[in-house]
Amino acid sequence: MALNIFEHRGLPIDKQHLTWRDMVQVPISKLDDDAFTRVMIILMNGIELESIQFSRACARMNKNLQLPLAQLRRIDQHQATLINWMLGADHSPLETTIAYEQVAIEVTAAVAQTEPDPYLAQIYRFGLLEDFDHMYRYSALLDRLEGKDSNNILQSYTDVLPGRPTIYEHRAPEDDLRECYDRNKAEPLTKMHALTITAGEQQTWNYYMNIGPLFSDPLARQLYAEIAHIEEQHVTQYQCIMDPDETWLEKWLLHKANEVYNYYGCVQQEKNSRIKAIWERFLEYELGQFHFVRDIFERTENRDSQSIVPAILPEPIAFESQRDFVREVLRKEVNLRAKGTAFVDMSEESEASKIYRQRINANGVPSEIVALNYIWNPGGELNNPNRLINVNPPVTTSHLQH
Amino acid sequence: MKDSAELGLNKTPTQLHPAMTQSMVEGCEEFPPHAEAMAIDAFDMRKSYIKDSEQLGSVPIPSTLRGVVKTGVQAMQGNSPTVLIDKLGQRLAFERSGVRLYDALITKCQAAEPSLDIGVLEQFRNDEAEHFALVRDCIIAMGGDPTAQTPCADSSGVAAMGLIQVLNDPRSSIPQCVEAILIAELADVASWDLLVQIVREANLNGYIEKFQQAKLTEDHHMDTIKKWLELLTLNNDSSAGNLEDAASEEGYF
Ligand SMILES: [Fe+2]
Ligand SMILES: [Fe+2]
Ligand SMILES: [Fe+2]
Ligand SMILES: [Fe+2]
Ligand SMILES: [Fe+2]
Repeated sequence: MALNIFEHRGLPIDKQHLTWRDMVQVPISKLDDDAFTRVMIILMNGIELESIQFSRACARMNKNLQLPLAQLRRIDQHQATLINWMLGADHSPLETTIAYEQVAIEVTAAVAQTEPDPYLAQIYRFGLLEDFDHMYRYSALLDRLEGKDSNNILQSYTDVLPGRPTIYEHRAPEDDLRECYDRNKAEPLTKMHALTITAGEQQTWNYYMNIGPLFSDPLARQLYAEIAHIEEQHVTQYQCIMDPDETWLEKWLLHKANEVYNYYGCVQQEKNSRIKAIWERFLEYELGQFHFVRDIFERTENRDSQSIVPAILPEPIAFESQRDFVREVLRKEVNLRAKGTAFVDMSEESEASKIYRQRINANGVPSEIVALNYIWNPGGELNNPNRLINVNPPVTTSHLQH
Repeated sequence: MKDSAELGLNKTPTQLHPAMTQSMVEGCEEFPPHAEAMAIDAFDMRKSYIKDSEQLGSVPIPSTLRGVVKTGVQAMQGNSPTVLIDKLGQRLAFERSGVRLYDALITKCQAAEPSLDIGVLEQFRNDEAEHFALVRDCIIAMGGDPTAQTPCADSSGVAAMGLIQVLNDPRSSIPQCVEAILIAELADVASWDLLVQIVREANLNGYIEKFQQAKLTEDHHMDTIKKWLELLTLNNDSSAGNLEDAASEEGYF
């Protein structure tokens, strides 16, 4: 059942207070909570961080909006803290990384299937296969560096298989740009999708940039460098989708609507009642914030906010395993490459991107090195009874087949 | 807070999802690994970094060995003063962190029932603080600066980070915390043992006995903590085979 965003006025913003105790709650259980509980937490943290990033940029360009932006940004700050702090400290940074890629895969796959615009759906499928490959590379690192099975995080919902090999994902900047939707013609769902996926990717980029240096192992440090680079490309790609002709206020209103939209999806699907109560609380908060921005929008731009945001929000994004869809995309589209804003077969890839890759990969490719012959097995590759006990001990190059 | 984990809620076993797991395994056949580029492998890559690496940092050697002479050392025998200063700095740092580990365990025991004997924990905590002071005095007597962080202090600090995480997590159980402390105490015992040999080699005669005494105290810590862990973990009701933690409920300490 979809939500009528104009009927529900939520909690007024002057009643939206959190104490430190509210913000720092008992985290979820890494072991006992469902993987999709963690997926929603990570996604919603990304949504809040995107809201904050946007708000800052908007304030730099709009003197008259600085106060209301600061007021809502402060609440977003509290929301983001509460949500992000729900991750327990028993997640190693690499385990959290696995969870981030699970978010990217499952949410992007769900979005790709419901996106009404075929070109944009293609963009999501394209990005999907890249994050899918990141999962494989990071799983190999987790197994071979920390001796852990990434499936303890994934809970069998998400595959650990090679996707579009990360080695082919690095592109010249001109091949990361995409066409945008038309703000007057695009479906509301299209706008929610673009904001949501951009939000997820920018927080993933941010996270990798922060935790990459926490690793002592040079291979791990290189792998984070390599994949953070792709996440920056993904942000570049996805943020192109949003029409730059939207006004600042229009974008602000859409950000708030998107927060409502996603909290509503979490309320609908969360099974842990303690976490669900948080989503319900924040849904009320966001509705209050939405109506606060709506008033400013309508006063300033003299147009009805229903021309931007429909009364009935679209159906929420589904939080469930998209294995079959992902594999279907993998079969059909793994060889796609980007050329400008278009997608082409690998045989027609742009020269600029090929040259770019040659240069950046000249001293070896960590995503290849880390995953050499890696085959996921329940309990880790050492747990495979059909293989030698000593799987992939350190060997010198001379033992490798080229 | 419960002392032993409840059964049945854990979602990590693949057997909870047999169909999905089977599908994952089968996927590996349809989508096998393939090497796109292997100019170098993990070993060569890591080797190149290991060869090019600099150390964590350098040992801050006192500008003069005057202090060393005063304490009765004719000349640094055997080991260079670098090793001595580095290992003293490490012991200093680890004992200081040890105080904080016990602080965390005492907090947890005071906050939750059942608990360990807090008097004993406080005694051990104060022992760690005394050991810290002992090493500090030794470093000062040698003309060293006890506020410096030496490379070995740094690396053992990195190693201890996991212990600090476990002990300060409100969700960790008392047995889990005791086990983390045990790791620290096992390291303590071995490290004091080594340190005694180092000061003996260096002819730091004024400290050999004091360090031997510290080693004996650490032996006592380790034995006590190890025994506690056994009591907390082993099933008293051998017939039932249940997983309830009997030791914690009865208050053994
Ligand atoms: Fe928010
Ligand atoms: Fe990714
Ligand atoms: Fe991504
Ligand atoms: Fe100690
Ligand atoms: Fe001790």
